[in-house]
Amino acid sequence: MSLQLSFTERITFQDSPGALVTLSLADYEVDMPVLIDTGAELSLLDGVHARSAGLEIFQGRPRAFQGFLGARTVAYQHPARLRLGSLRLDCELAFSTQPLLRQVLGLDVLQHLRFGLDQRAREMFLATRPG
Amino acid sequence: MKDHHLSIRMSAEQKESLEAKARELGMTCGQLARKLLALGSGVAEEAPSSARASHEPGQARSREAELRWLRENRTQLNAYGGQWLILEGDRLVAHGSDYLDVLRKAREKGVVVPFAYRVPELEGEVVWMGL
Repeated sequence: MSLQLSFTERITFQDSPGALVTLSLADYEVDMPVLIDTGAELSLLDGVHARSAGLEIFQGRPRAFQGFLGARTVAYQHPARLRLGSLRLDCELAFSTQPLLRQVLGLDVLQHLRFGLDQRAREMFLATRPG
Repeated sequence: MKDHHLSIRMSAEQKESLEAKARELGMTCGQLARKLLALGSGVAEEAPSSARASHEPGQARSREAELRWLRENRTQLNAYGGQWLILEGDRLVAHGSDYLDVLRKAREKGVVVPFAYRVPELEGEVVWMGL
């Protein structure tokens, strides 16, 4: 069997699938690498970015995050713009109240994309979904 | 061009209106404000010095130099465990554990859109997994 999918972005990474994103919040903008986490239902970014944009984190929509090892935390969603390559998404993103070791893009963002992974080649492929 | 940072006080309604217009035009609030100032003052709009010529609305800046710096300095990054780094090209512009302070230092050095990376503070070899 042979399958063919088309993509518009090809991203190489080092160890774990990650990508460079541009986060825009009000007049604050930052470029940063984030991890792609297909096991995360929601994206989670460090709250320092919300603070840098002058947002009051706790005024966002609270979301409880449960890790499978038992860790649990609450983060707060705010409207944001995310750019990944030439792809641009206006969405609600969750911001932590504590420092994060890694920032992740989860299924809430990936659902807007077609996503392909070649871990052996350390390459990711992205495209906006047709229709 | 030397970059300057300007804060503007406005009502919540004005802020919402500006954000809505910027979203509609596919711009950040900062980009829209610069465009409006250029129109109103007759002074030609110049891109901030950290904006790349290749940057177009909806198109991410290339951060290849910053990503390469992270790759090439991977072993030395342990010395920055727990700190935020702001890079501009192949230069480490500012670093420290308080992101807002690091961002302020980077802005003082002319950085408009930072490339930010937090170095995880780890003890020994670890295996990364989800939350």
